[in-house]
Amino acid sequence: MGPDAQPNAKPAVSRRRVLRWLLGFSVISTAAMVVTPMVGFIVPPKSTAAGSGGKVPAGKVADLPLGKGKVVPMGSKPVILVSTEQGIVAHSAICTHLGCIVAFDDLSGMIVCPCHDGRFNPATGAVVSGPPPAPLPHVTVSVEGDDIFLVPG
Amino acid sequence: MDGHASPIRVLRLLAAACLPAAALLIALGGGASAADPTPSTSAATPSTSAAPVIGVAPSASPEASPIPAPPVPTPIPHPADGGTNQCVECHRAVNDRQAAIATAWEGSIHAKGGVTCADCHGGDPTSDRMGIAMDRTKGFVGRPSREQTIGMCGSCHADPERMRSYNLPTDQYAKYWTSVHGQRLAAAKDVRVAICIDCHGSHDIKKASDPTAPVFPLNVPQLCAGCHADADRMKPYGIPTDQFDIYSRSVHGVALLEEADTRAPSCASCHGSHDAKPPRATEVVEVCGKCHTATQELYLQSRHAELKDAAPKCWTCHGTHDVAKPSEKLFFHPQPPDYQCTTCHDLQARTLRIQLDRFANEADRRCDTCHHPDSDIYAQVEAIAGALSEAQGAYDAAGGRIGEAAGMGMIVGDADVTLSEAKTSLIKAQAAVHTTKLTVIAQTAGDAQKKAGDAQAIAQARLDESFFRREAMIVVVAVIVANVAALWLMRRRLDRRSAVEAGDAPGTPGDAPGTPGDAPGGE
Repeated sequence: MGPDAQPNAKPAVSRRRVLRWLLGFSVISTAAMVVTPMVGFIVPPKSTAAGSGGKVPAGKVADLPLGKGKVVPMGSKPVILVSTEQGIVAHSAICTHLGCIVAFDDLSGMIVCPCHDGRFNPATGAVVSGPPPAPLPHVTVSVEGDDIFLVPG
Repeated sequence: MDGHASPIRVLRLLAAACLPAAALLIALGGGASAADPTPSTSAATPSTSAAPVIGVAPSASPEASPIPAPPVPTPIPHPADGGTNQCVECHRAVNDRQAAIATAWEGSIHAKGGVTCADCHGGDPTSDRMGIAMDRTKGFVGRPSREQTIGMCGSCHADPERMRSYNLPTDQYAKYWTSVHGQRLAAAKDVRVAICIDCHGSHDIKKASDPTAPVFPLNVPQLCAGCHADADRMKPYGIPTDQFDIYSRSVHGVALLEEADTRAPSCASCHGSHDAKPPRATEVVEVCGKCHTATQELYLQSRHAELKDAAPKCWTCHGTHDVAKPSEKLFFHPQPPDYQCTTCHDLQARTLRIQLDRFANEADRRCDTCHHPDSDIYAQVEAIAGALSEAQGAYDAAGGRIGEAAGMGMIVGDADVTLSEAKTSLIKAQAAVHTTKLTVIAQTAGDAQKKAGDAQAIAQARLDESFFRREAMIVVVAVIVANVAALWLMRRRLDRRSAVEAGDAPGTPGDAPGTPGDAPGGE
């Protein structure tokens, strides 16, 4: 104790209070710093290319005239959308032969694989001709107003 | 004069008569293998061991004119059975063999279609008296000869009106007589050749679409092998007998026999069924192109296709019964091969001519079997192989990098999509090899390489992000640890100071170290 010390006088802010504040701050900041990156890993940032379990926007109905088709991404997989008489349908765009990305052929009105000329029925995804051993898997489509959504299975 | 000249004239006439027949027999005997470059371990007779070649003018090896089909016989006449078939009733009681025949017929497609015993054997099916039912004077045929059998089947199956309700083709009879089987039967009266009942059965005939039918696509290879893998049966014809073994190991055979993929070709897909014969060099591109449509289109754009008869065809590089999965090994031999001018050239005619025997050996189905290292085309082949190799390498590297990023928990969906695009371009580039055009192949391979590079860049960005986040985590944790340590030190110092102060003022209650909450002047 210094010569000017007055043992019986109470300080304005006690050491214990300072200590509590510091401990509280440390606990809260520690928890925040630990939890934040964990949440970042667990709940990844939303991306237009990544389906996170919900519906994936796939364009506008107006951009897909009847009898036409186009390939759009759904997460890590390309999907082919086709506008048919029965409505808009979607299939996996991965050819079941060797895994090339198929395309819609305006001339024949069929889904065609550019690698080995495998052809698929645009409405059902069934193999019409060529080497593919199986039909294109179906993908669920939801049309809400003018918006097309894909529903990952 | 006439008396001396007659024997010579007779001999000349005999020779003139025999030569075409002999030529036909030789052509038929060699035809099964002459245009087929499949390697075989079976011994061939000398008459069929001549080196098969393509590239010669068609007129240089004229084919013998096929013997025309005999007229279609009329169906065997017999009294209408009126829905009764006494033949079955009686024969079932004769013995077990006859009973089995009756049972087989009852389960056949013929029985369901109302084709009865008398339609093939003649006789009177309404009578239970043998003398009447099997009266040869009234048209009973009994067991028809093998040659008769063909006409008997044709008498119905070549009749469009009769076949209309079954929606069956009616050209089998005509086709059969164009086949190697039919021609040999016609030319040499060789009744050992396959006829209708050898493939379809006789009494137990089933629809071709019935999986238990011998002619169902999955069963065709074994059906053909029943004769063609029989060395004793094939010995007179001098043709190989190992085709089934070779085929069953090929991509086609594995797909059909092991994977039960009925789209895969069986023997009949390439040789024909009723008109069975080996595809000729002039036909093979069309035969393979029936299924490999895209590849055929690419091939027809190639310099190879421009060579027409002298061109290397599908089987030059891929073989026939032993078609394997293609790979980059088809470009070059591991070591330079033994170059023979005659492999690809007719030295006398000074024309291109491919000697198929050389390509019967799988190890010689390489570009550099024809294209010498000193040639410009060899350099082009090297460039093609290099472009594909680089694209494949880029694709593999991108795939590996994406796998790393995915393994670290990063979202790589966009990289996967880009990699799929790269794969599409890579496969297109590999198929474009059939064009033999370096610019086309290099452009497509370059596209694949670029897309693979894009995919790898995306994956690398994800990896960099992951590394950054992990490094940041380390810094944060270090800061936290330092903070906690500093607080701990600070608290210890305060506690010591409190202890000292407590020592200076003894008797002060509730100010013991470690119980800060009890401090009386804490607030």
